[in-house]
Amino acid sequence: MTTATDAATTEAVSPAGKHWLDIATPIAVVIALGFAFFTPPEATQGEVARILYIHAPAAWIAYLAFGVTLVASGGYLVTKQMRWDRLAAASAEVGVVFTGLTIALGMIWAKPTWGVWWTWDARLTLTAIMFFVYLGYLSLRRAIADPVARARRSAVLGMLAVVQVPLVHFSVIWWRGLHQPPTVLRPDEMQIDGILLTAVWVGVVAFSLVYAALVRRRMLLARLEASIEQALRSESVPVAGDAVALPEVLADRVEAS
Amino acid sequence: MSGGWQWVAFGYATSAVVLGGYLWYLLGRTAQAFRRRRELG
Repeated sequence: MTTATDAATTEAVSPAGKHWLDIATPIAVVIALGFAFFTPPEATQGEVARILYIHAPAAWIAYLAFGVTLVASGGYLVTKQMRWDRLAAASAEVGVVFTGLTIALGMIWAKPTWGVWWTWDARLTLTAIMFFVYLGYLSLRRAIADPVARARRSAVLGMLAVVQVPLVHFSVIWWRGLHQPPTVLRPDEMQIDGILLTAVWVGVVAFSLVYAALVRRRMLLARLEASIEQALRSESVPVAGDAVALPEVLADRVEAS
Repeated sequence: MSGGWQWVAFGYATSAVVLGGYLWYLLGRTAQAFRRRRELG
């Protein structure tokens, strides 16, 4: 039987649903591309520096995403409300995408600038480790069938894993390596010309909107999946035919209900 | 360093593929889940 809440949930997460982010995000991306392509070339790196107008914002948005996962994980552990868990998971997944993009863009910039795609510099290595740890976070979520245990365990990991963000950011200050020190997010004076800095900040705004739009979409999907999980539990609907049994934890709950 | 536009194009195309691909994946999974939810009533 479909309840009013179920119907409202299904309606609210309709893939056709429009939101202001769906309009604002592409506009911001186009403006950011305009700044990235029409600012003057950088004095020493030339045109290749244009990659940094999206490389640096992608890295900062990954930091932001993992910070949001930290806050949402704490929110879940305090309140036990599943929406915090969904926010933590959505933000971590989008953060992994942005971290992967940061690494890819860094490699594409490094080849013409350093002469190599990759080097075991502290910043690069720690970023790669952060990428794989958050992939582990996403894997952990897929490995636990019980939603409550999944939320609790992944919240703990989500809070621990964030320690990598300051490690990655300050690695260029703490260890001497090939990667340049911070240009904008540094304790002392910024070392970048005004118009180039504007291009970076416009990129940050655009990627922030991309992040928000993707997290919103991912949370809608998580709500849908949770309502499917709930429907399967309450109506004893076969998960994938008779050949596949419900996980033990879910089977117990179905029997109990 | 002069030139380098091919690297810039490579970088921006990679971004479009990564972010666009992830959005496509999300929309596809959402549509699939939406259909499944409606089937379950």
